[in-house]
Amino acid sequence: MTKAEKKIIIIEDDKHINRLISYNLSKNGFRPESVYDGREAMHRLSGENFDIVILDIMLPGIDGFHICKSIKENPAAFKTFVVILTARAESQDKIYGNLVGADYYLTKPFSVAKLMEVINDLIALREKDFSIDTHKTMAKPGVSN
Amino acid sequence: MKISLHWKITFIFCSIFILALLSGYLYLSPRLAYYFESGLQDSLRRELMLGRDLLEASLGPAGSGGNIGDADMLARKIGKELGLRATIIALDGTVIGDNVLNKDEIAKLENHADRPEIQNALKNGFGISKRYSYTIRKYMLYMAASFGKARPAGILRLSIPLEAIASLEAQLQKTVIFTVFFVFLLCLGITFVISIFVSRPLIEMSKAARAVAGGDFSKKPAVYSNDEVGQLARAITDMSDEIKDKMEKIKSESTKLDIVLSSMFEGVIVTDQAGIIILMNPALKKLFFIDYDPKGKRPLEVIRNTSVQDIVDRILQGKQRLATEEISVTQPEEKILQVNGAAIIRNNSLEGTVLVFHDISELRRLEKIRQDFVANVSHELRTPVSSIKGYAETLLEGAIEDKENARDFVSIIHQDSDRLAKLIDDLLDLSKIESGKMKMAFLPVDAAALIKRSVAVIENQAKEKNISLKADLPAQLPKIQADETRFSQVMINLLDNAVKYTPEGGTVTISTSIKEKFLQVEVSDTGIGIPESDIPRIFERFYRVDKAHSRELGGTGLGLSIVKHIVQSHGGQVWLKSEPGQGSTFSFTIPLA
Repeated sequence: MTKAEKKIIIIEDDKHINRLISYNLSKNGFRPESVYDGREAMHRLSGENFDIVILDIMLPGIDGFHICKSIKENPAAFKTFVVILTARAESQDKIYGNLVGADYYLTKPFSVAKLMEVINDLIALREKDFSIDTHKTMAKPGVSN
Repeated sequence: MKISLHWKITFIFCSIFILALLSGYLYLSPRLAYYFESGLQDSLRRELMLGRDLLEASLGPAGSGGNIGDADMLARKIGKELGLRATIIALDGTVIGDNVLNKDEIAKLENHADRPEIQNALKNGFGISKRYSYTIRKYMLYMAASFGKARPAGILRLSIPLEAIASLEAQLQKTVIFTVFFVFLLCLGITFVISIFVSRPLIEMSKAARAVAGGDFSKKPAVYSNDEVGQLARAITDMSDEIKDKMEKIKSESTKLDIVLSSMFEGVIVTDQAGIIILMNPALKKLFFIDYDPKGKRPLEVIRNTSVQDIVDRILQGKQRLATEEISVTQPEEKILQVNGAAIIRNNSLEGTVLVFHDISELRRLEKIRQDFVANVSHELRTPVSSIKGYAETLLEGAIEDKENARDFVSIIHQDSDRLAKLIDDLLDLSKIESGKMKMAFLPVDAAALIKRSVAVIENQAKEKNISLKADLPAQLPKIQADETRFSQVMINLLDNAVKYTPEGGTVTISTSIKEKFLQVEVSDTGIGIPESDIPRIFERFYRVDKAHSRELGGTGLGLSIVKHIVQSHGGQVWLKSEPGQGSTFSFTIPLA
């Protein structure tokens, strides 16, 4: 499976940041999809299973925690990694992110290189092992600033 | 029966007087009688001796014997001389002469030999006797003496009625009774007056004390003397003053407490040690719709909240001295109440509990607003910074060579730095206004000139979107009392918004009117309008109807909030009317100079 075949969705209402992430992912060989509000995101996620969801929290319509929770509660999306990318930097938000099952929590302002590293690592993890068990043990939520 | 003090005093005094007089009388009376009687006897004896001498002188020489014919004549003579009854009795007891009786009567008289005085006179030459005389029917004192030169020739008896003594005694008795009566009256008068002097201060004190007991502190006993009574009067006055002071203090304390409790915004319940309500203030009654007196009930019966009862129970069981719970009330509106309970401890014993109910809904709401604001500020600052940092990083990582995108990226960096700078400006303005640190000089300024200047600032922006900007100002506009810079800021913010949210080819109109002491300015547009549900929140910080659209247009979400604050600082008001799809009208008032 090539990188281009990996399904990545960027859920981010700020157009500049959405474009920034999209541009860098494309540079890395991915073909990400961009969505700008919560309702649209829910619609897209219900129809398809993504490998990686880059998720903002403060979204118009439906907030990111809610979206993350619905992904993690969906058995069909068991392979989906959720990377939260948000301006909400309070520790209680990070704890809440953990509770709703986010696989990674990145706060804004973020390093593009770090985000790319996280995504590449998660993809590599998925490439290495397809078993559900491994997914469960390896996919511990990580936190980075 | 109640007998007043001065009558008692009068009675006692009179009794003592009367007792003294009576005992004096009883003691003196027999002595006086005796004294009179013995005086009488003495004079009678002397007269008897005189009569005997007279008789002896008139008798013939010794041994001539009794001369009966002469005896009656002699008796009459002696009786007449002495003014007494004189009787001459022969040695055998036959009466031979008497000056009171005539000869026939004398002849009828019985023999006097058995009379005690006669017997004694015969035996000893002298005899005395006191007895009732049947002859003249009177108590008499009799005195007899024998006469004769060598041997007794007969007996001379003198007698006097004892009536004199009796009448003397009666006179004495009368005098004494009169005196007693007179003294009694006098004594009554005197003691009455004395008792008035003694009892009047006491009566006054008693009245004053009763008045004090009845709560009247105006009556004070007059002080007449420096003695014990005077001291008592003074003590009563002092006591009354002291009680009055204390009562006033207690009254004012309790009034103060009442005022405090009834004017308190917080609800208060006080219970006794059994957990029974003894006090509930009006604020709490209002809060829980209690229109009856809840005294004597348990908190749970009145408030129907187990947490409240639980606080009381925990304190009364001695588990806690202070307890706090938050309870929520849904009627009539959702409220969060903080209930603080404390033990009432007096002299080391638990006497009850006091509960204070604070309405912290507003506090919680403000806390939420503040938290939201902090979160918003953080988000609003982090987003452009992320963008700037990300694009710069991307450019450095090689995108700078990507001719297609590099220029765009730099432009985004430029836009987001502007956005950041504007956000910082707005945040600083807002914080200065809110903390009251923004210096505003409210001077009479020309509103028309300021409005025109603001229009000029926005003109280019409007032209770009082909929006016509009309300032419909009257020729003569009165001056307003405002800070030039801040008034312009309000105008520019409103005009900027109007232009931003009005599609190309639309119209933005400024109009003014005078409303009492205010100048009312209206900024109307033919823009997209604001949904009715968003209108109440439109002036909140960071509140946006369309967040993405707003950000795209370079809005910070603080513009209207700043407008509201500035207008309110001027003493004016701001509001809006809007029809989605038709446009919005923002209006505000500024006081005239």
